[in-house]
Amino acid sequence: MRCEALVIGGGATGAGIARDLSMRGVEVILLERGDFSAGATGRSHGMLHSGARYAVKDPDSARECAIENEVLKRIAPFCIEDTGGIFLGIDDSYASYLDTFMKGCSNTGVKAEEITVREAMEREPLISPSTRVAVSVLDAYIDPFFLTQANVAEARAMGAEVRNHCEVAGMDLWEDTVMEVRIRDRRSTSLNVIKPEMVVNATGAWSSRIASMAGLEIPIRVDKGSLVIMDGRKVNGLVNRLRLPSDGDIIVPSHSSSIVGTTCDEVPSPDDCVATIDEVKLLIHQAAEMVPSIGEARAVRAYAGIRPLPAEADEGRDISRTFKLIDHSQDGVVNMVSIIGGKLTTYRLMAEKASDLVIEKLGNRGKCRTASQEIGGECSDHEFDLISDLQAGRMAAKYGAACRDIAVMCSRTLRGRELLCSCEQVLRGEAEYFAQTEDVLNIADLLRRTRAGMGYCQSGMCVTRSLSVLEESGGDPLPLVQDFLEERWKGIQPVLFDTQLRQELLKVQLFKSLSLEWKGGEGH
Amino acid sequence: MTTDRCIKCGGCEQSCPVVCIEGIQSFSGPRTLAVDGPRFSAEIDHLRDHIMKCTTCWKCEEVCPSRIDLPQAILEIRKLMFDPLKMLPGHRRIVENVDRFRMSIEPEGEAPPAPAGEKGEVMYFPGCISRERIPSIYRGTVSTLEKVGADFGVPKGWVCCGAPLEKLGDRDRMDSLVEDNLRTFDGFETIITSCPGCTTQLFNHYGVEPLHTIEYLYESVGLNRLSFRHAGDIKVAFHQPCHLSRTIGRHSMDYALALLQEVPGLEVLELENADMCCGGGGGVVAGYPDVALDLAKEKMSSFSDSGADLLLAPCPFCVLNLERVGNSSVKEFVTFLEALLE
Repeated sequence: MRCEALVIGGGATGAGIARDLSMRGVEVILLERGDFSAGATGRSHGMLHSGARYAVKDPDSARECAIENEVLKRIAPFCIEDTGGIFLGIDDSYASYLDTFMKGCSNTGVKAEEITVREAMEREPLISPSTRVAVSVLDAYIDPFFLTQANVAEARAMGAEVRNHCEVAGMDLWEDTVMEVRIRDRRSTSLNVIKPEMVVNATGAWSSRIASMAGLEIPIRVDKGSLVIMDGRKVNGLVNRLRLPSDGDIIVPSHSSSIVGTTCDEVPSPDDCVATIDEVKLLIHQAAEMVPSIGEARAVRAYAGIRPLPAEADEGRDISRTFKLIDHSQDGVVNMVSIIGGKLTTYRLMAEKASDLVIEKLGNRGKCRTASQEIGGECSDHEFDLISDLQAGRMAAKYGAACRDIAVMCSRTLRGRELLCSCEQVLRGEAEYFAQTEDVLNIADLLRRTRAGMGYCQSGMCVTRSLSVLEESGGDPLPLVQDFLEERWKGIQPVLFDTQLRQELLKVQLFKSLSLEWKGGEGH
Repeated sequence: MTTDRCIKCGGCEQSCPVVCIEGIQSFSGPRTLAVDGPRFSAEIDHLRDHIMKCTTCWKCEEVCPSRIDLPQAILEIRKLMFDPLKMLPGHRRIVENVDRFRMSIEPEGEAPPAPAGEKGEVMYFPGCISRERIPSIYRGTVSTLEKVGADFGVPKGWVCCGAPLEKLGDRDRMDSLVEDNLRTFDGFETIITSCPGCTTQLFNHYGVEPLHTIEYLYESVGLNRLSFRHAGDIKVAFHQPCHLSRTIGRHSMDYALALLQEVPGLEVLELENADMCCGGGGGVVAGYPDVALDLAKEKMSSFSDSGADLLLAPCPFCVLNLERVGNSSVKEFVTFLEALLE
């Protein structure tokens, strides 16, 4: 298989590059080892930064965020909730920081406006009565899964060959050029070979591993950031702590939950990163200082993202969150580029810069248009006879332009209109739509595409229904459930207290009744 | 709100009388309405059709392993989504009646005369139904109080307690009724009511501790001061009204049975699903009369199976709704006792 550009890594950046290059007429292959957005992308907050968080210590990032915030609101409105955000000064810890903060914002073009505590209380009724100062910013929520999916779908629509569950096994070089890339597809046993003109390494925390296949080294620091999902929306918009960036500063309203983050710790490997119970308790404690009811809310799940930070002399939070584009000709491989660092908010900019470099090497094909062209086109019409307005609206917010086809799938049969996941109000037809695509191999793939199983019972009640959607395509179902539950367990273990413990106990009994040996439940 | 504690065991749905009788398509059930529905903020409007079918029987709270107060959550949602322009016709009538008569129902004919005293040791709060729709309850209760020698009176100018408005979510109107009533409550020591709905309402929103007539007879008068005539060897079955047995408390059911056991010549037969809602509560009779009737029919069919001659219900709303089935064997509990009281 030949192609002009082989993009490795199906996170937001990789998908964004595939879209960008396809729009400029480049023949693209995009490969993802697991599923799209299963790495750092899907483990982010889903925060569309206004830039304010970086205004003081990381002005470059702040500037990038401020610009991209507006761009993304324009090109991906379907998966963005433009909620706005506030920074809260609580007790006296903010006092010395407020002036620096406001100055930082104005220097970096970040829009920030001090509002009265009363106004803040009106916007966020649950914030702490010890709030002394509030600053309004343009933060928003962006769904990383749906954003990535939409980029993938559009790249495909423009001719890109896109495969998930497809791993790069090795590279063969001839002198200073990557000639062949060997790939292993989970759908078949044989190895395939791709002959690319250019290789783009967009694998984030795994980029040094990919680079090493071409004999290259990328100095990278892998940083773990833990987050915890609390049931229910305790905030209407994003709530940030007004202080130098630290642990548990951010609360993000996300669908039916509130996500609290983050921590910051260097870890040796990006694989198997999990949050710990101590981190969960620390995050909840910190967030409860801003929104006390977070302290009594139900912790549903915890997870850890990996930030691939360009390794410099600085430590952890001091490393810039801006990105780094590496042209490996300088290290002796002429047709490979890597892009590391950055943020979900700046994914498009990263994709643009990486694509520009690829285009420069391939020969000019025109300018980047991703900053102005809405992803997937507009989706204005979402009225359907047989599903409720609410369901149609929620589908539009998840699938953007694809929502029409998906809603039709749901409406077609009685089964399609059944509720598959009640926590997240996902219909069976939504899962059926994705199950018929070749991207979906397992239950987690369905979950990432529909949100089925992401709610507070954590796939307790919908796992068998999701399975039944998949099973119609054949294969032994039990290992699928087992794998899925083991993966979910990693996120549940750190929140096994109070209600979530009771929830898990009920699930253990339920799964027993299905003759399912629930291995993850050893701790029970 | 404690709905956070839901573990999706499904108990509330299985025990919900409206789900059981009407089906999950017609009424999506307590969990969906109170827990799942409102989780996506600002999206509660779609619940409107289903949420008004809850009879607030509190059975779901009873079976919930996490003891989530689901009906209270549903009432909170009704409050949030109350919109005068989107009311069901039956509910609009209630609101109009309150505006015109300060009663939840339109007064029919001549109201029974109030007893002599307007102040006294005991205040009797009759409630709209006992006074205007089934005046025998009013007369029966007044007569009972006379027979036990209570120094009692009915507050002058009392109005609807506001419970029906709380069920519709119309808290502003409800508050205005509470204010009106409180002005008339001065000078009484004990407050008794005929209606479990009023009792609960007075307790929750008036800062008083009222007694249902059954509680008054058992606790304040005492069984040893009550003597009954021979009932003439009849068999009765006993319906347990939701707002009495669950909201006011199980003790009221023990009291009721103890009172019945005092009556010679009376046999109390077991009624299957005695504590299942008759459909009379939560504004469902007015909003969805068919749903309320379906539940009442179910109750009357249990009654037929019991082999009893009479079905006793210590709640005006239950009596009113059960009578809609067209079976004349339903009697209000206190009225029935009063006829036998010496």
